[in-house]
Amino acid sequence: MEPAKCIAGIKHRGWYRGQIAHTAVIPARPPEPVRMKVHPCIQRHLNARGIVLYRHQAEAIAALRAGNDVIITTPTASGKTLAFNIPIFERLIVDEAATALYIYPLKALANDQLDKLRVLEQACGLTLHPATYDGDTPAGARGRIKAQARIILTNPHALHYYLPWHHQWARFFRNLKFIVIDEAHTYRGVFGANVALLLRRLYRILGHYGANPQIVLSSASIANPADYARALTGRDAVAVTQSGAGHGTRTIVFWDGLTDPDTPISLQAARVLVHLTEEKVQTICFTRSRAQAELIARRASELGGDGILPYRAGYLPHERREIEHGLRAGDITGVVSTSALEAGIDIGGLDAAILVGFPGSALSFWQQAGRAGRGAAPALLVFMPYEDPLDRYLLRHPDHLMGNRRERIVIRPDNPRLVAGHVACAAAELPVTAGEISPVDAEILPALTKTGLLFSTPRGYIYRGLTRAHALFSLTDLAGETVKLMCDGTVLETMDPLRARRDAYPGAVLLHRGDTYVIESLDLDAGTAHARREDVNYYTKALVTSTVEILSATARRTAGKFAAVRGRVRVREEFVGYQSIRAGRTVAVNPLDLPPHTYETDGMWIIFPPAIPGIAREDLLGGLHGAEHALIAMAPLSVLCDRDDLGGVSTTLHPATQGPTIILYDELDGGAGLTDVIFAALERVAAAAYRLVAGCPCDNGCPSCIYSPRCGSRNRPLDKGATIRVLELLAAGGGD
Amino acid sequence: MADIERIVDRLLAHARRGAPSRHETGTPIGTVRRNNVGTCAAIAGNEVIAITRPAVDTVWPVLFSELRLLFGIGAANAQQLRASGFDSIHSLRDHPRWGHEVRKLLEFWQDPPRVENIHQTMSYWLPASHPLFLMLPALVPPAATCFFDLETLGLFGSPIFLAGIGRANDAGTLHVMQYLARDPGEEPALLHELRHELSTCRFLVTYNGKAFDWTCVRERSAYYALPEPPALLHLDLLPHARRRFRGAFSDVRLETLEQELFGITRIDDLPSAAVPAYYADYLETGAARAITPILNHNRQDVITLAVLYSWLVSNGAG
Repeated sequence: MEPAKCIAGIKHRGWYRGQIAHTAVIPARPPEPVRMKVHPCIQRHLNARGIVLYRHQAEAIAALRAGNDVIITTPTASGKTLAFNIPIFERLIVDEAATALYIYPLKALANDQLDKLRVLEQACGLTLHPATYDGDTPAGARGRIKAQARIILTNPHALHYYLPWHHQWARFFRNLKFIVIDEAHTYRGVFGANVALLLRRLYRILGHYGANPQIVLSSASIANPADYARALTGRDAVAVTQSGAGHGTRTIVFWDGLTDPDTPISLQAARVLVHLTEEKVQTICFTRSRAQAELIARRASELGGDGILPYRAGYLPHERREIEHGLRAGDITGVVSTSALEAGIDIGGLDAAILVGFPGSALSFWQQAGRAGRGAAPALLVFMPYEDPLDRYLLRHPDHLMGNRRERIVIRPDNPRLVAGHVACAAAELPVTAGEISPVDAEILPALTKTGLLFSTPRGYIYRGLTRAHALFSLTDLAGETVKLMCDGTVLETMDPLRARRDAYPGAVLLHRGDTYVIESLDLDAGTAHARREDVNYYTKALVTSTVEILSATARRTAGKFAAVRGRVRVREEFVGYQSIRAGRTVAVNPLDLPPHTYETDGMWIIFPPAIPGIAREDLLGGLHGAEHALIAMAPLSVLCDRDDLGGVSTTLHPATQGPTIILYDELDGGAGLTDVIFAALERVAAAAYRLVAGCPCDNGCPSCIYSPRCGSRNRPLDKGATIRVLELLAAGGGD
Repeated sequence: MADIERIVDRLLAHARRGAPSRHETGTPIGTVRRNNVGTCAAIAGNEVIAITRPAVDTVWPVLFSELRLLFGIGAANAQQLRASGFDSIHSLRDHPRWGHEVRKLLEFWQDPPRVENIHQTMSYWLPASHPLFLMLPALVPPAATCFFDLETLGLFGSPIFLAGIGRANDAGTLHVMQYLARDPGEEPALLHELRHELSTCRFLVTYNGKAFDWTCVRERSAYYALPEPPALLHLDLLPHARRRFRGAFSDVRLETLEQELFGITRIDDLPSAAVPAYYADYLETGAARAITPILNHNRQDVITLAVLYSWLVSNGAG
């Protein structure tokens, strides 16, 4: 595959309208193989498969052999798994009782890794009885696994439920030498904090059995690996960040779809995809949404693209397996996927990747980009930004992506609501003594005792709730809950309740395997949604309005003309209705009858003086509102989050602040520390937002700058001029 | 914190409905047992009921006629062999194909046969509802059979606060011993007394005890890092009741069987669901009024277990 030839071919196509705005080339980097002595049986396995070890793998192996915790953040396909499996297997060979626990965010990933571990086990002539242990494990196999397995693969949800049964795991825990936390970057936000606290509970139990294993974290590339490892595990880890695997030349095409405004981006993507597959370039196309993946796959097949399939997490296991196998075998020349294929699942390397829409973070961007490229062969990447503000910003500032920047991951394991739940669970696992609780949380034990959940005994606090602690405090609010989407008595797919609210409300249009379905009913209590198959030529979007109440302030700073405050807020979300959109125009707005959802979370708010120079009184709200949208749009450049993780409201007079106010909050029950990062980096986020809006060629605001698709008041009022002035003021900070 | 308090208040409000609320002064209950992990209360009582046990002599013919206990013989094989005149394990002793298995089995069971080994073979090859299991307690002394029932504060993972153990003597009197944790802090002492009491027991008889009661004892012992409870033979009557009464009665709860089989209707009995709330009230008030109904309830369960066992034994394989 020659990228230059591919690009020239695209330019010769009749439908090409000059979309290629910019082409960047990352030169090839030679691999840095190293010679390292590994256990002979592993060496034989490596030789048989022609695998050489690279510098970063050697670093990780050496650090693990020396007894350290390690976090590996090298790119996809750089051999991270092997880097920790080698020292783990070496240990399991020498110490015949030693065990290892592998934690994956998803059952599917655990199953995939189990196969890899079995290959290594066989190659080494070992009998380790590796097994997955989760909700799918048959009851008949559980006792045997707990008695025999020396490697167990599970997920955090399952582990949460198994900890109270620790005595059944006594052999496994007593001999535990390694905990592997794979895809660690997925543990962020509230879920990340929950996993961090789950690990603290696991340590306690391991301590009870006299075990103190090493921890290995494997993660996508992030800005703060060592800090993140410490926040998640509470321990220091050696960070291995620079890949020695090398790679071929990477050509990155920045595709400006707006130069052909009459052709939807999905059709442009389908055309490029079909073009590449016709040139025998095996291509993966990533989309941000399930619906978009289905749509592009359908358009590609309408264009005559052969062997192009959609792929996403909602598919049933055997459907997914077929596609994964087809990709590895090369039978499938093109696949359109959500982030489900971004990492973890082994599909081998492809020739090219098309990214339709910025996937939300540089982390994901490079993970998806990393799917293209086999060894030293060149790879082609086509980035097709949406009209979204962040996307347009990255198109206009390609250096941001090329500059190798990464986001920070934040987690807040000190969230008192979560700590209380985990303390209650811990007390159901082993009695908790006051000395085990950090002084800042000292009031939690008496508080839980007062509510009747704990009882103080001479041996410590014990759990005495009427309901099982582990059910009362599930690991996420969604743990174990799924909504089944039914059509004609069969399950089309399953989704979590949050997604069901957004995507499967009555009237919503949903695509599944290229077919459109209309949702007839949603019953969140019963966990079912019913759909009918129907061809429609519109799509739908839910409208949500929020009211935010300020509960308490934890930090405040004054800078220039404004004050920024960080604190706690209570949010009430109402699903007011949904829009039906045909060819980009809203053709109908329908009411929705879903129960409102109220939660407490982290927030930050900016209080402005009653009048801002250069902004007419009647434009102020439009300026605040626009600035709110732009700040939220740019936040993902600083902290790993989705635009959907942040919410905001703006008002010219907030009763609690007595002034014009923008409130931003973590759109997650309990909060996740995202607005804390924005509070600290407000000037920087505002500067990027200012460049975005001021640099946008539109006259009065557009979807590329201050319009937000999720705005509950349907982007009214917005005032671009006032927005620029507000952002300018914020960006100047104390300097204005 | 507000969230948790709300959740818990709601749960407690629900559970407390119908519980006694009048405060009374604490009344001492039973005698205090002191051991190296703390204290708890022990309440002893005798109940004159006739307990039927199979005679030892009746066990052997039934046991040895069960050809499926031999490795390799399933239902079809057994039927075929019986049709050819092989009606007992002994009759196969010189059989060219099965003689070896017979010798292996008898060697494993030892002479005189050890009931633990017989039980192990049976558990491996026979369903838990096989009537032969009902006969096995005959092979241990009457006092080594314990009818056992627990009261806890909820489901798994909840503290055990009352354990009832009934033992029959040769005269057919059931001696019921109850261990009460007067507050959850006494649970380790309760478990300690229980382990001591069970050290002279060989056969445990329960109702759903394999899934619940005995699992709880093991789990709670591990929770406090106490020694594991002894490994006992265990006869769970639930599968036998299911086999006999499924479809005949509305359900197979112990109370239902009492009523249907023995015409016993518990008066003033506390529904099982109310037990935790009564105990919570006892913790708060120390009132005998709150704990007595629980003690009676648990005692009645132990007695009914013994009566039900007798009934199942007397009414044969059905």
